[in-house]
Amino acid sequence: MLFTLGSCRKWLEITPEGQQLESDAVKTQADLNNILNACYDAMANHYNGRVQFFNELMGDNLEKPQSGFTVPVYQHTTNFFNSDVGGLYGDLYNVIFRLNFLLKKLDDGTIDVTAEFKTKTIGEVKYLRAMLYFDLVRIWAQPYGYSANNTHPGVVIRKTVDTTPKARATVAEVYAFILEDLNEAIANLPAANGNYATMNAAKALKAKVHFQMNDYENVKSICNDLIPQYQMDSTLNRFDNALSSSENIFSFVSTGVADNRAATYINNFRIVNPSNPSPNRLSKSMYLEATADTADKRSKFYLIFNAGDASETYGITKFNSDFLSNPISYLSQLKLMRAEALAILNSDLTTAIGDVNDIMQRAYGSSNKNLPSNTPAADVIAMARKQRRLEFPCEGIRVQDLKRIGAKEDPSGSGSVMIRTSKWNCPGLALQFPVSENTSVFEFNAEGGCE
Amino acid sequence: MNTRLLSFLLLVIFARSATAQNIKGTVKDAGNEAVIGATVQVVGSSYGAVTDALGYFEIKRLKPGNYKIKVSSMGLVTTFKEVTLGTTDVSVNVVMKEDRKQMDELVVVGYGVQRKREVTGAISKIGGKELNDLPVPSFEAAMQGKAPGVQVTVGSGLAGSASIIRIRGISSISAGGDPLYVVDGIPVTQDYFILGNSGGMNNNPLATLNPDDIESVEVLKDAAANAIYGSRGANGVILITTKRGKGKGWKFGAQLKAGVSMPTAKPKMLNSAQWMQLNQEAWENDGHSGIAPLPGGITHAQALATNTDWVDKTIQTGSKYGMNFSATRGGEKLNTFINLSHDYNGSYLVGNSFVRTSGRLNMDYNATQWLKIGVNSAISRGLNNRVNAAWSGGLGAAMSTALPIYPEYNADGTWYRAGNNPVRNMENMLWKTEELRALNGLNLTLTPIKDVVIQGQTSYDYMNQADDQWRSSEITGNKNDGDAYRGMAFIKNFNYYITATYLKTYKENHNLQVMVGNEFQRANTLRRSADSTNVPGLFSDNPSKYLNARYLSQPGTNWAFLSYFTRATYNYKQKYFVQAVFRTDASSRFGSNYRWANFPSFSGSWVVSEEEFMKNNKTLSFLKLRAGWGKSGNANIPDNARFATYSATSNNITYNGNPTLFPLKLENANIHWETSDNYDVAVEAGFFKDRLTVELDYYKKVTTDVLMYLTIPQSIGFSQYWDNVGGILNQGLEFSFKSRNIVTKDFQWTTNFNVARNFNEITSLGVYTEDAVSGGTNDTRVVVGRPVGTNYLIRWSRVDPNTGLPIYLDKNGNETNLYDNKNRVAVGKIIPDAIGGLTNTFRYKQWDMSVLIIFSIGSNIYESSQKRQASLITDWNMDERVFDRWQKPGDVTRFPKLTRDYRTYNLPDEWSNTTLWLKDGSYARLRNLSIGYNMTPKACKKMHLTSMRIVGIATNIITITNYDGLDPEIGRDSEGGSPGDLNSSRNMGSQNITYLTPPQEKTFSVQVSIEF
Repeated sequence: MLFTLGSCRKWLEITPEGQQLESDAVKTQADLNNILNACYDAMANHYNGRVQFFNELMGDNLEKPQSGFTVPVYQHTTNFFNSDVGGLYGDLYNVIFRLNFLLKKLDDGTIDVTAEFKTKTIGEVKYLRAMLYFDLVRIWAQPYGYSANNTHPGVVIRKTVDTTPKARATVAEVYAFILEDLNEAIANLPAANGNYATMNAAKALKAKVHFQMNDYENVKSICNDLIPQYQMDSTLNRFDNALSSSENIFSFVSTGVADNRAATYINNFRIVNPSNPSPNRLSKSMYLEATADTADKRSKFYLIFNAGDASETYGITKFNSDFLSNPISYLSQLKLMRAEALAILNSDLTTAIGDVNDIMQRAYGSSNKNLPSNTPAADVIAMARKQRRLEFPCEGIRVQDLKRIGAKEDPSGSGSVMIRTSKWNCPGLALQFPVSENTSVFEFNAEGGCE
Repeated sequence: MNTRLLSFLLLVIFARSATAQNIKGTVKDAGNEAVIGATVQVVGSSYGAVTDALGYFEIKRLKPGNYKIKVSSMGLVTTFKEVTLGTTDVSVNVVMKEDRKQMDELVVVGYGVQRKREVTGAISKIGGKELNDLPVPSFEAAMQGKAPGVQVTVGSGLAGSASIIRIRGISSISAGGDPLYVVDGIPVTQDYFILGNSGGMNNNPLATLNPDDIESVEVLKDAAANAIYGSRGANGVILITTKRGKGKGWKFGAQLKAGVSMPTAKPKMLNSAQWMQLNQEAWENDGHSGIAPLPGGITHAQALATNTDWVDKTIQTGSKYGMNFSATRGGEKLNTFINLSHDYNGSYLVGNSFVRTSGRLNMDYNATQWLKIGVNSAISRGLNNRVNAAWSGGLGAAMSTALPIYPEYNADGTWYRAGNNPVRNMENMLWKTEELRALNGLNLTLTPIKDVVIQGQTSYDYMNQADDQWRSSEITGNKNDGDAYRGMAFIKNFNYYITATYLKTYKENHNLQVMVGNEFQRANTLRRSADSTNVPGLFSDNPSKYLNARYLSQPGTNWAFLSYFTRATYNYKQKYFVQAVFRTDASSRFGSNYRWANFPSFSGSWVVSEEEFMKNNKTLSFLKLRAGWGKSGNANIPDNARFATYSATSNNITYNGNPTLFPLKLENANIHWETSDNYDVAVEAGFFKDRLTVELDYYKKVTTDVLMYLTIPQSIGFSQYWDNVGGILNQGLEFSFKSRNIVTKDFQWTTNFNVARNFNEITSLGVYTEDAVSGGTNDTRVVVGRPVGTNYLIRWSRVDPNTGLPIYLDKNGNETNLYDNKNRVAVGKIIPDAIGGLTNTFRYKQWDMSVLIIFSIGSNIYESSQKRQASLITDWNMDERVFDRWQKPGDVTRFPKLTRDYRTYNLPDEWSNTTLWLKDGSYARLRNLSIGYNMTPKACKKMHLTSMRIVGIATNIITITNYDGLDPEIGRDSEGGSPGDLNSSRNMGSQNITYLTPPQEKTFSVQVSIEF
């Protein structure tokens, strides 16, 4: 017995065979760097058209999917058993867990890291985390501006590694948290960082966040800072060369068929041959708007199938490739954001018109369709918004634009801003959380209620 | 010292030895077992002694003369012996016969035995004979209805099928509800998910244990009884004691048995014409015209010309036979028990059987007065000839996607492949699971000094399972001889324990026994697989192909338990008994801060009938009151539950050309023991010289820190996690009686009855809700205030007579057309309110008859597969119950109008759950009827036999139930075999949820037993 007393600690200290434990895996700065790289890797997979697709499904650019759990997303009728919606939600928060773990390890002093690594990594973590929360709050909550003080429920904020169930923060709190992360990212990120996040990437994202908040002054100042640093690229399909483009601010790295980070774009929209529609198709309104002017070179991206028949459908050829580049932030976005912001603020219309015309000129291959220099602000706004739809199809931008505009221009939900046949603020336009969130502290979204 | 003094002392010594002799000897029972603690008294004097652990006694300093000694011990007939003492010591050996009073039978209690009178905890004993008589898939199934509070649900009619056993309800959610099985002191491997989850019912490791080896099974139910196994006693402990050599000289026994198996109920599926008619009706109900399309590439003309009865093609009359040969030898020095058996257990499913071949050698050798050596050794081979069933195919396919319009063969003689063809699948697949098992123990008993016994046992339970599968090219589509696969598991389970016991009787009335002990167990599981293409059959028949196969090995898993324990019992005049148990356990599954847990227990009893005021009571011959409290625990979680694990460093996943590293699983360093506080009070009584004995128990079990495999909020970053959450309450009453109603020379009638009422409630889930536990498909959930395994469903109201469409109920009970998951409510439970059994045994001269009726009251059955078998026309066949459907306005029917589109019923998909499929699960069943004839001793003598018995046995012949499905006794494997899965049969969710589950088997058999 004495023998066993002495030996018992050893007898009972059994670690799983063939599995790497945290204590063995995470010991050096290089390990932390690999974890950070795994965050990029995971996000490159989640932002490969997938996050964007859920946005598009809610909006008016696509037609109803054929079957499966994406149908209720399109119908604005998701419930908590929707495993496609829950899967995306869980995947995004899984990256947040990794990011929070990195912050913990950078802070707890258990691993020796250089000051430079620490600063840069904090910046990257906060940039990536802000990107994730920005999409989480836009997909699973009603938009900024939905309630007077944005006290309506947003999403759960997790700043640290912890396993306790939590309540949702308000949308105001989530946006404040995102901006706080971005400010820290901007303060810590280097100007150049290879293919990884830079200070400008964080600034570009911050501009998008302010844009979504209808905070156009901040959009203006950030865009004024960034735009002069980049040049327009003449390539019409930015999925062909996002990373090497002169417009590139931040892209996920997609290097080949075996390392394709645009897979969901391709899987959803690729047309295998001209007579074979893609698994997911565009809406008629998107097709008509995109092809109304055949002088617009972008109209060549669109195809019609079974024209005139009851089964008429529409496709896009931008994603007909074995692998594509994956742009996240780039100059064209900034240009159209600044144009709309300046026009709404009614300040510096010349710059606003110039920004729109840069896009138009590329689309038409000439200045024939440029806005005249005396175009009124309202028309600049309308054209900037139209160009956003035509420039960024399938990139998940359109539905959030409509929500942003709804919050600004139709705060009461009178019906003047519609997303297809639904009011911009109807309950089902915030996707339902997965059933796993069902704890006594959590408030689910209202379901349905959209026409 | 001077010589004078020395001479005086020597004189005194010699003088004493000349006039004072000793009577010494041993006391044994009829089975040649030492009787411990027997009182040996010289009648008419104050001289006496108490026997030690080897039954040895010595009465000293008696003068020469004639004496009468009286030997008494609880449970044995008091025995007298005449002794003549001369000038030397005399040795006497006393053999004590068993006292037939039921209250004094021996009971195994864990690391020892006690008389039932002395037991202060709740223990049910089932004799080996009661287990041997039934032709069951595995011995544990034969426990059904025989012990109060022990719920036995036989898995299904599959051969070798595992039973789900729940003792006094269920006090765990994700950490398994199975009791601990201990065979001859060895906690054995019994997990039936060793090789994952396949075929509709997995191989059951307990099926290789030969029921003919079993002397008795003791079920330890409360903490006073099972605290000695504290660490793993939360769900009860089943102690299996195998037979040992006894009596004098060699005795031989042989048994032959043969029988047949058939299902208790046969599914009444639609024939081809009926199915087509309903398909057409649904087509037209959906607003179409013309001929309805048919699935499986079948034309209308072909369908009309085909009518395949797939049920008939997948079931048969199964056969069973077995033979058993035993040899026992008893003697002064050596006791031996040898048993050899071969058992073929064919089920009613075509191609399905379990073949067990086993051998056992148990030996006890009394090496010296102070050393006894015991050996238990069993080797067995279980060969499970497996078939797909339930969700996996076979009869399950015949009840679902094998439509009667599908042929077995195409017109050109090739197999029909465009739809489910279970015959094709069966004929083109070979599947065997072979289990080799060796269960060996070496036991030493030492008596180094008087009153102290040291016992040690070391044991090794080795199991090797190989799951061999082969699929022909017809199935695989590869142009070769077929593909073979072998999944293997090797389980090495090492265990030792050592105990030291001190026995002391003071002044005859104070009896004290103190035991201390230490136990260690470590198990290692290795899993391997091999696969190869172009193999003409199973790997077992193609060893050269196996040698060249591709091998995959999974990391091994290991766990260990280390325990220290003590048990002290004291009684005064065999009247007042108290017992204290303390066990402390450490498990490798918990981190160092939470590794150890303490499991104390205190209990006591008062044998009131020993009091003077009761002694002359002619009615009440025995009365005992007992009460106990104790803690028990559960650590049944995966070995790596507490660890955070990471991707391999070289995982081949890069981003931007650089390596990645990422977490795979959350850490929970704080995970700790699930513990239960157990309370038990009971009355045991015997009337009319124990002709009628009665036992009534009340128990309460409060479980806290329940181990749960939580579906955690995904915002945490992971979706599943092991944690200690919430609480469960179990309380209940158990009542049993044994009555010898008529006892005459020629005719005897005895009745045994037991009933148990269990109340189970989840008292807390922390912040979690009913959807918190992973794996709750079929809408079985955990709901606070409700039992574990609550049916949580949208309520079906009725069929609208005007439209034929479903009307549901919302949360408030108002009718609605909407199917909305928010309207789910707790409407049923899969745990019964009451279970029990009634056995009547009649004996007339050489004839005897035994009738066992079991019953289960108050549970629900969720007939999950019926959602595809009634009203919604898919690619499933339906059964005849669908005829009660809506056809025209005004029809009041059970099922709505037929449709081919689930959206007609406002359902989100064809798998939606409502209370329409929730049924009353109560039943009573004639489990066993046996009629036997025992040859007269005279006739036996003529044949040179000691005894001969012929018995005919029928099982499951009559069932009374309101359940309209196949069979109300339902236990099945889960859809997912992960350890924490609520639906795993380790846990609760799979019981009483039927999904094409094969019904139980009905058997008729004959056994002939001889002894010589």
